[in-house]
Amino acid sequence: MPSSESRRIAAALERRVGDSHDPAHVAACAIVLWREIETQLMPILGTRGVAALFGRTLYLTSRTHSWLGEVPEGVHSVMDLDSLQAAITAQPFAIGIEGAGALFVVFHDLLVSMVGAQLTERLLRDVMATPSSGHAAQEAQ
Amino acid sequence: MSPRVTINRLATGVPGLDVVLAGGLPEFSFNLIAGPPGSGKTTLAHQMMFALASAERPAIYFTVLGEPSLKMLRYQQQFEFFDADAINRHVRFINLSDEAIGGDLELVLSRIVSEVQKAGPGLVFVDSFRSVMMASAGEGSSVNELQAFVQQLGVQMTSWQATTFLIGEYFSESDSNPVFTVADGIFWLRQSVERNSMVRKLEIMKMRGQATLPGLHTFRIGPRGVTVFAAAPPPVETSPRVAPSRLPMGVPHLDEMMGGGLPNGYSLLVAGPSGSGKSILANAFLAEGALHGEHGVMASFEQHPTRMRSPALTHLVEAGRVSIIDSRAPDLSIDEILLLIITEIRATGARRVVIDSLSGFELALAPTFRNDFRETLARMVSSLAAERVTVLMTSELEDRYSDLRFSPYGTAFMTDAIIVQRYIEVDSRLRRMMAVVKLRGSEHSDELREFTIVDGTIAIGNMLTDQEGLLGGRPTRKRAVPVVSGANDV
Repeated sequence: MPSSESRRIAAALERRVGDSHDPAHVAACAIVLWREIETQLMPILGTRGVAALFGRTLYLTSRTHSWLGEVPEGVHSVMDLDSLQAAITAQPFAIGIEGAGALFVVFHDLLVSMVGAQLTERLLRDVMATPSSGHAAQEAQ
Repeated sequence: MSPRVTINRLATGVPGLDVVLAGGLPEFSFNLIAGPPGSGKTTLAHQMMFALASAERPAIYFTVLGEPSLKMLRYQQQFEFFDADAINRHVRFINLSDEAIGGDLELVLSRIVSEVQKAGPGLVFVDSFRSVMMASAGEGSSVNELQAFVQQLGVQMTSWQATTFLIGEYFSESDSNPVFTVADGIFWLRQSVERNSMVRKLEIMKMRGQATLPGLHTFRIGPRGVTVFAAAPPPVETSPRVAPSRLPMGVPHLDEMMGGGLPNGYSLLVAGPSGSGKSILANAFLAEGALHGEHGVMASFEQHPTRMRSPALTHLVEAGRVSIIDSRAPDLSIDEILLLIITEIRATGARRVVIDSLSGFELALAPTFRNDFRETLARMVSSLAAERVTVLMTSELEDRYSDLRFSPYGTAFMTDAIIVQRYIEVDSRLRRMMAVVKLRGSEHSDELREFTIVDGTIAIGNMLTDQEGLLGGRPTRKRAVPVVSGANDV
């Protein structure tokens, strides 16, 4: 059972999806979140670094959610979000949102295993922020 | 207003480094941190960054190729100086691998400059720098282009008032490289391996604008990061202490043998074979000092230090009258041990210092320093003399009866006083004798006195007047002079 910390990004996804039951909407929200993660991490890790983490996340998650598809072989310099969007859209709503959330949980835990919980929270703070706390992007300066 | 510019010196936050830098790091300097892999460059850079960065002086750490940034964050957070809260506030990491991988120096430079212009940092780090050079070499950039790149980087960073560090993997100083010329300061880190020991050393090969301490300075990397063992600065001149001119030794009759005690500020060598009672004499010296309100410092290099201590000394340590310095760190340098001793002397106002023993000290040093042991000892004696403490050093002597020697290092001349302890064989027993061999500038006894150790204390007895040839180790009984009664020799 993932901890509440691990689920924070997945929870952010659920908030953004709201009351909609449309798989396409779920996919779009998930992609937006991934773009935000990329924006946060790319300055520190580079696009290749983020893509590598994403590839690993996809691999780990697809072992329990095979519909996510196989990670194409080779070194990726960017995240393949188009394929992910298509895969989520093709699933029934419940399965799609659960799988999309699982990806975020695995990604969070992967980062924690590398650099610890405190730093992960620091790096992903803006992505995990709830809307009511105001947009935390301002504090970066 | 002073017409000349004042160059601010920044406190680096690395213990000992500001002493080596003769005050601190010049603001706005353009520095290179160089050395082979594993020498501590990234750790040193991070330590300075977290110490110097603040809201008024934010830092950008550019990672180029080389250590993956995720790994760097993983390892550097093991150090106490790492402040995760500062990240994305006044400490920002920026990855340049996308630009660098193409080998286009212009692109790398423009990315660095645009980030610096946006954020206006006071500190800029580029890690690793050599990877930029190598990536560009792969694309066929000429030496001129490299030079131009470094030049422009220097100009830009200085104009934007950023104190800059380039971190580079260089294996030898003879790598001719434009960055060596452009840099204001060069920190060169080494790991010198000899036999089974590894000693870390740092050299400031260059620092424009100030006279840094020359030579190699040993340092260690621990949980708090880098600690540099700079030679301790000379003590501040204070008013002369009102002190007795002679210190009592704590052994009955020994003070008389020394013409009244050991003169204040002297260094005394107590030499003798194993088990002859040197450490007991040293302990008595410290105990006597405590009786007179004088704090003592003992630097112990024995294998089983606690076994050596008399109950009286243990009591003194527990009562805080004597400090023990007992560094178990491997591969010591003279700098490190002197720093420990002098720091303790200054912290406690100690008057009496014991080094027990010089032989143990030699073994505790890294092989690279053992080779210069005479120089090491000379430094030890003179540094402690500058602290105006009275020092007793014990030294193991192989008892070779054929030659009279007081120090295995040929260093007897360095000390002001020498007491020698010897074994002699009389009637199939090992007996002990002691003599004051030397006491600079003072009268002293020339007697070879027998002594015994009773209940862990030294009891000095009489001369063995019925024996002769004591120094040869196998004395013989003097032949009795026949008494001729009534005869009057003419």
